[in-house]
Amino acid sequence: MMQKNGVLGALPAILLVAALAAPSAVNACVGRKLVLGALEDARQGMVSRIISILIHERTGTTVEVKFYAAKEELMEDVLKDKVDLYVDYVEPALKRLNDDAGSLTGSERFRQVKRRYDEEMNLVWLKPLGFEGRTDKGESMGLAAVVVRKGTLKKFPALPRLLEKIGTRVILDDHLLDSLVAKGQSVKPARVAREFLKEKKLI
Amino acid sequence: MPGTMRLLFPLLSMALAVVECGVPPVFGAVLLPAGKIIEDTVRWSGDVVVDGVVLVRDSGRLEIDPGTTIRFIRRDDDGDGIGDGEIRVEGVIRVNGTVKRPVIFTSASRNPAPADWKYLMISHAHSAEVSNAIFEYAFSGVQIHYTRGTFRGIVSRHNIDGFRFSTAPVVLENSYLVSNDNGIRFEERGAGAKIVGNVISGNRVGVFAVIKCRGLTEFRNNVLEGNSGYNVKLGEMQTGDIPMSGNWWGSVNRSDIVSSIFDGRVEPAMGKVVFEPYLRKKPSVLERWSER
Repeated sequence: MMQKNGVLGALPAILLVAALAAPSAVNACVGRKLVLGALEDARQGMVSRIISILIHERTGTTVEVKFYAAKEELMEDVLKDKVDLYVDYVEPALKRLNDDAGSLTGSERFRQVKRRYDEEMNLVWLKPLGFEGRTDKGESMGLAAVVVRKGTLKKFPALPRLLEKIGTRVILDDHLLDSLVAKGQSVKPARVAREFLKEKKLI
Repeated sequence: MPGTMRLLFPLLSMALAVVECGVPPVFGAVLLPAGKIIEDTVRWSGDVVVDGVVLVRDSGRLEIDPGTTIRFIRRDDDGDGIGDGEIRVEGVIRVNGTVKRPVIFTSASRNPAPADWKYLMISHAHSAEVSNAIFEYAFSGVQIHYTRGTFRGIVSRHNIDGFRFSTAPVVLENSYLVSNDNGIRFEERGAGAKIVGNVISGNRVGVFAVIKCRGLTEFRNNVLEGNSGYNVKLGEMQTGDIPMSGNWWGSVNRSDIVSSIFDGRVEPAMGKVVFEPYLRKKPSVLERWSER
């Protein structure tokens, strides 16, 4: 049993004082955390797992993946600084900017979005991941890239170098992504993502 | 009234321990509710149940007797997926277990799991001396930062991080770090530690050198084998080499050892683990703990 220099009787009073002056657990050091926003579809589900596992394994940072039913809700949280990073596509991003981009080519359209998001929204588009987004009807939504808040990049300067390995060292093109998604139908997607990263020697 | 409280408190404590959802009753245990603050010398023995945060203030000293079991009630009020129970030390802690009567820090759950409680956190504290203690089912069994500490004969198992330190000249000797996600996770940040004669095995990653390690930490005579992911892994921003010669890696085959390490040999921007010369046979350490 607990003894406090033999003054066990004082314990209730101490507990009362202690309860009133309870220390906060808010600053507990459980490591830094990032919130990754993702849409509730199979491709974003797989990509978000690949990204979150890569970040966690290589930096020790905990990544919470938060899923959204609608893009508007996701963007709302991004702009409220509740989401640190997410995956976006060029065409819907241009639409959000009311920018038809005229006759620009694919890579020019990407650069246009990247510049305007940086200047107008403090969001940084990293290098394209390799695959293109698709609507439910199979129409292209343009190149996909990880988009990160500028404030997050200040705290996590390693993120661009790390995440751009997905689009450079390993090209996550449509074919590869679709094959991973297909595997994820029968095996847990997180396991598929982890095995993929391990096979590519990224973790 | 105080006399009545003296009688009622142990009964109330016991009752609370009994009714907590998923917590097996621990009759006779002292229940420490959230917000318990220790400001002078306190000694624990027997069974102690912690519900929330126990803080050992700068002026406080916590002595824990051999054979004491400390159980942390699983609760997650902040919803971060990690139990909120912890002991946070800013003053002095002495954990005085013996080989036959270790001090046990564990979950109070019927079906315990890693991260049921947070950790023994020693940060900006005066000192820590921990002997013959078992840490299990925590987020980190032990976390120590900005504090000198000596840990001998500890077992840390079934945690996310078995033993985690940064900016802390700690000594970790003759200990078992097994069945954790990371056996040891550390960031030197200018402070060298001494990690000698430990078994670091059966974890997903044996040793994770995250960042800002400059080779100040001595790793010697450890058993680093059988970790399912890597025996040693360096973090993305760990650019300096990590000296780790004089350890047993579960093999005398160099390529086997190399394949159990994630470092600059895989990612050129990162430093390398300098593991040669390595031990040619397994050191006979820690037999006394082998049956735990």
